[in-house]
Amino acid sequence: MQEEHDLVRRAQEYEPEAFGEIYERYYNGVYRYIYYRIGEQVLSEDLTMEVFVKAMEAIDTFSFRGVPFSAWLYRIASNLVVDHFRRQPSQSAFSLEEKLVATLEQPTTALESEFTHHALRRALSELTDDQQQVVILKFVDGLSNLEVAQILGKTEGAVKSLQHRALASLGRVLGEQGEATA
Amino acid sequence: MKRPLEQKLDACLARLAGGTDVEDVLAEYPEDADELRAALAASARMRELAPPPLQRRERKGKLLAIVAAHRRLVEATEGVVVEIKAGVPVGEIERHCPSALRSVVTAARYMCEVEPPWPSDERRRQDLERLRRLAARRRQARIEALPLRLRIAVGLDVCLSQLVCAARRVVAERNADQGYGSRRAEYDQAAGSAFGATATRAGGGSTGAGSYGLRLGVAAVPIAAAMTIALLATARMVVPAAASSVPGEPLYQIKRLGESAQLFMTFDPQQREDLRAQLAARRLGEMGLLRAEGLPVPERLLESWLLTSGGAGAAGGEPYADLTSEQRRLLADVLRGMEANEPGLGRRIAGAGDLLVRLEQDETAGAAVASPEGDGAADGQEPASADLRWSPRQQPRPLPGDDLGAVAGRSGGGEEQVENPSVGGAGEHTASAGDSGDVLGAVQVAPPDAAAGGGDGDPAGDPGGQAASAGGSEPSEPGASPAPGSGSGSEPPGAIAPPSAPGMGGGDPPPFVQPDPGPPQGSPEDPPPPGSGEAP
Repeated sequence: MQEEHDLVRRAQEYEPEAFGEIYERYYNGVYRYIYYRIGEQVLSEDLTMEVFVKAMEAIDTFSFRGVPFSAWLYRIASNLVVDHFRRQPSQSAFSLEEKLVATLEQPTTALESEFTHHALRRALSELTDDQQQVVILKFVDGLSNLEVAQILGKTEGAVKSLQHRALASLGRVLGEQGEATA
Repeated sequence: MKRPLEQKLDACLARLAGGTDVEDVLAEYPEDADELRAALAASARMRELAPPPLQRRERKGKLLAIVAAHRRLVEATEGVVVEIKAGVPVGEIERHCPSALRSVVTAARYMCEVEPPWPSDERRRQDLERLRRLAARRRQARIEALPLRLRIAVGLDVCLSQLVCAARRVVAERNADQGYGSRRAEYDQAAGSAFGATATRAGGGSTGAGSYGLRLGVAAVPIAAAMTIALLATARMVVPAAASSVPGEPLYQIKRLGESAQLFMTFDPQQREDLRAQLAARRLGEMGLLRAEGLPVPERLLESWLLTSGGAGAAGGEPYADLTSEQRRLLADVLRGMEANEPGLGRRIAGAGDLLVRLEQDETAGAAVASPEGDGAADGQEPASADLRWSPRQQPRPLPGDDLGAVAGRSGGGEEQVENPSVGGAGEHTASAGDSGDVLGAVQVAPPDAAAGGGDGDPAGDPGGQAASAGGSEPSEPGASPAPGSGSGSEPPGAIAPPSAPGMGGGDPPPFVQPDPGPPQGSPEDPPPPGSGEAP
């Protein structure tokens, strides 16, 4: 924890090395979060970079109030995703890329087939926004229920309940997708 | 008293509750059927909204059961997620989890196993470089946004704070063996953070110590150097003025800081030992001053003397072995005073209890052979002040590294070039002979007036090295090491002839060197002044 405090303090002094460390430490989690919510790789890369730029612009406003720095980053990422959807409401949940890939996929059986990230992304799109966020955050960087609750502004009990419903729905959709392609 | 219609309504409701049909009930009251029908319909609606207690309990029980089952599923899901993340085989999880959670297991498994398409390394490298450039640009913009004087002030503040913190850390490390380490380290951190806070306030943002100074780069170097020189010059003026201060005075800390810096700047082991001995003598002199002025001696001063007296005290040796009888008497008085004020001195300060016992034993042994001319204690006068040849606010005794020539040439003149130790200084004269002349005169006069120390020739003199040696004394050859008081012959036999101090070798002058006792009074052999070429 102290290490994170020192890193943030250096980042607030605009040390390039500090921002480099932040980038290396949190990039994978933020990218995975954005990708599973957006579904497009290039766009996800751009938005991920945007998250760190926004973090740099607002780093002076950050202070540790019992919330880890990663929670603050994920909140920025969530806001950017919401802004993206607001800017492009006409787009369907599936990108053109995903639709094209879906037509080419030919898994053998429902459960034996290797689910690609496209299939998972399609399944995730069937969930509600809260359910998506809970599932993605829980499995992205191994965030705890408390951390997810802090990011989403919910209680731990609510996060657990959302997780159950989300995984149950996700499992059902994945099973249906597998049966449909079988 | 209910009206007849109300009584009929009650009867109808009772029959409806028993399961009778509404029309059958109304058929018994044809004349009131219309009114009763509306009332019975309303009653039926109310029953739907508020079921009878039995039905309420049943439905509540069902609801609670559903909630509990959901809660169990939620907790079971959390357990499945934990097991999946921990790497438990999926087959094993599915064997013991409820069938309702099979889909949860599947979903959790794929959430863990499926990886998104990752960006290329080139893309990540480009993003990282861009981020660093942006950070550097923002940092530069922030610096340039500050007014010039503020930038200079912040840079100097940070540079000086780094300098001070670094110096204090080194001093703290050097003094770690003296028990100062932990306290000094904490002080360094506090000083560093204090300066960092200053930089933060000046910078208008959350900055740390050293950040702006470093970033100002070359522009701050000459300015910082000039400020450092000014600081050192100021120190060289302040430290001499602080040289005669005692604990409790504002400049005492500066004096100690100067001593610490001088000790730090002395690299030769022998010179370090000599310097330690001089510093121990100073501590003893300060005790004498405080006692003479009727002030309490702080325990830290005694502790400091114990730790610096040649290192032998700290190692469990005999730190008082080289003391004169008067010095020992002073120490005994100090220790007794401390013990009287707050019992348990031996527990608080390591070695103090044993030292007091030993000193008292020496006193007891030496009382029987006390000089007939008496010493200070015998005459009832304050031994510490007079016998120590003390005059407050005197110039300090020069220490190794100062200009030794004038000190060594003490023989002829009545004046002496008194050197004041300064921070890192060596051989610089900060006090002229003329300034010290009156002081020396006072020193010279004091011994004859004070019957206490004059007769026995016991050069209890200047254990702290503060008093300047008076002129007119017979010069002593460098390297001669008469025992303190041995020349007068009045040294009580019980006094321990001081052996050579540790590390000083045979024939070296004793570490606690007394000032010249003035006109020879049975003291044909005066100890050499300190620093007068006594290096072995």
